[in-house]
Amino acid sequence: MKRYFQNLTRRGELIIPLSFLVASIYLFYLAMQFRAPFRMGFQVGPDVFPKILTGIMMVLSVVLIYNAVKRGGLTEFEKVVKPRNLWITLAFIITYAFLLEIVGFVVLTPVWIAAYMFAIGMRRWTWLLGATVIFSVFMIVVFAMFMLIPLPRGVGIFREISLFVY
Amino acid sequence: MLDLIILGAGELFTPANIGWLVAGVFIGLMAGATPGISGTMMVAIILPLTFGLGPSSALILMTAIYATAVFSGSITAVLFRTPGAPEAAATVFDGYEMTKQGKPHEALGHAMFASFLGGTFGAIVFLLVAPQLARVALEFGSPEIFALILFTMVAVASIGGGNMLKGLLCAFFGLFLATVGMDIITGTYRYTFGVPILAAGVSFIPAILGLFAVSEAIRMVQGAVTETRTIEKVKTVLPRLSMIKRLLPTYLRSGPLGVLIGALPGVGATTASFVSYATATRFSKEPEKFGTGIPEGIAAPETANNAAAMGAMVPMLSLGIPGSATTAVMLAAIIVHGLRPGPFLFVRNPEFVGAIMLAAIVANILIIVVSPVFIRFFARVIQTLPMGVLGTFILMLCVVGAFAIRNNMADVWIVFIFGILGYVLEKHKYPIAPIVIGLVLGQMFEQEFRRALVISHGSSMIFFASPIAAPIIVVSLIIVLIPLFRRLQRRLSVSKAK
Repeated sequence: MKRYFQNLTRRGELIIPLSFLVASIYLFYLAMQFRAPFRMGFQVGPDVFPKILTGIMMVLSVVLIYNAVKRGGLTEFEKVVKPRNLWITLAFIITYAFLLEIVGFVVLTPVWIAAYMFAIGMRRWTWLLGATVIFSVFMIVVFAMFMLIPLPRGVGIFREISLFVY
Repeated sequence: MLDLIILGAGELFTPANIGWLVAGVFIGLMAGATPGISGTMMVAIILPLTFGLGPSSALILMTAIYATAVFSGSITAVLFRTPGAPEAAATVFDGYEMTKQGKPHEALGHAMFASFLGGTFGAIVFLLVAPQLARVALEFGSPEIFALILFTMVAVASIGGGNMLKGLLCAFFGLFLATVGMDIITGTYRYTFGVPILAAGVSFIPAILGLFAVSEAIRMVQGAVTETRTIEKVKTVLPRLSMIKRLLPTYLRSGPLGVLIGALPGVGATTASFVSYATATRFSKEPEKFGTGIPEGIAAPETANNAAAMGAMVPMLSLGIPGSATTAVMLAAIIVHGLRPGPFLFVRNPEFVGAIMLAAIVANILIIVVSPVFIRFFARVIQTLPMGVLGTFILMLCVVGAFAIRNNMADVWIVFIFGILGYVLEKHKYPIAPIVIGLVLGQMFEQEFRRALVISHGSSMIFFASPIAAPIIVVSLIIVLIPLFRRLQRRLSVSKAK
């Protein structure tokens, strides 16, 4: 029985609708507190629609949970060659988002591209170097020079480098 | 309609917009020919890059990408048995067989000619039908619009294949996401959790980028990241006149079928190509030859999928309701560029509507002009790109593109969160398109629902009193209830047998 539930949970057939159910209950509870600041004649309050939607989500989640428990985990996953690249990708995106304001776009982008490609398993230096240079130039030309987006310049020395480039 | 064409031509045939159209054709061809990058994903990625453009240029670019990506998926389907886009999956059956027989040039020629015919036919129907439909839709009130969106959501969730319950859950989740932010009617803050940027709601573009592009990029880098292919140079040979005559019934059947299927919400070009292939088999005198490398097996799906892509644009422009995931992204683009989608577009921005319609026709014609050059020179280059490099480029574009929307890091976090969400949900066979369509249509859905109830002083009978809304709501309910009845029937027959 324990193994059965572990199997289900691992495959997400149970855990996804369960998460939706918990979230819907909490969101329904939050919707109960929505009040209109004023009232003019008949009006449908700001709470009505969220309540209907979260209510329906609750019902659907319960049915999906019932089906999952009854049938067992049936989802067949496609085989992936490098499953750990998921975590590497997530870690790199978070790092990029955190460092962008400090290091700035111009310095961080090429370093990030090269490091990320190396981390996911690219070893041919021609690809690593070529893609890093081409992608970085493309990003700077399109976003910073053509679209004039004020991409973060970073602080200190990084800011100086950034001002030198665009 | 003539005024639409004249105004649209004035808008489209400027050097800049023609440039965007040609660029769109090339980008679409590249996206479609690259396994892992679909037309939907490319349109989503390109969206932040269009901020510097006017709404017409942006939508011309997207229309060209959409129209051509549907065709170019067949290039890899024919050459490597790997459809570059899901729409080309049915082309593999006979296209690859023909390549195995040493005739890839002929197979590509059939795919190209059929796509050109189907797409141009679909675009012309789009030009003829959309203004009429918009004229009817101008008479629609709140209950009718509410009913139409309800039907769209139910259809997208249930017909799109897979588990209907999962589809419905995703559709309602998408609608729920649209309630986040300040309520337009009362000014109440809902689900903002004290985060200032959420007051304006969940931004479409980062959410779309995350759901469609980041999740796909993660899948790409989880595959064989360093694998590349080397292929020979391939030419294309257009079908001869005698062959076109032989295939004429197939073209004539698949075109209208494709447009009709494409115009239905939730049923896109992929379904159209499979239905068309199956129909061609049924009508054929030698059905056993399908799958052995016959031209009919390429002409049927390729005519239908391009026609369906154009068909999906009819409800998008005339009703403001997307028929497919790609048109949902395009609808979001229309909103982001400051225009209000729906029938009023035809009244307020006729030059915009006309330009998109003409762009659809020209892009389909350009398929036959540009593709031979593309296939000869570029398809080879694209195929040698390792998945790891492509995935990295997509991730980078998504992260920077999201930041570019409002110069705010919060949008980068939204991309990140929705990327994980999209990846996890798709892995467990939860469809993504209903979430996006729900998010795009959610605000209008709620407003029309509340407005209708205010008009009727709280009586829900207003939805059933309208001769247009009532049947649409009933059909929506039937779509939801049919699987339930079937299950009940099955259970009863099983218990009787016992």
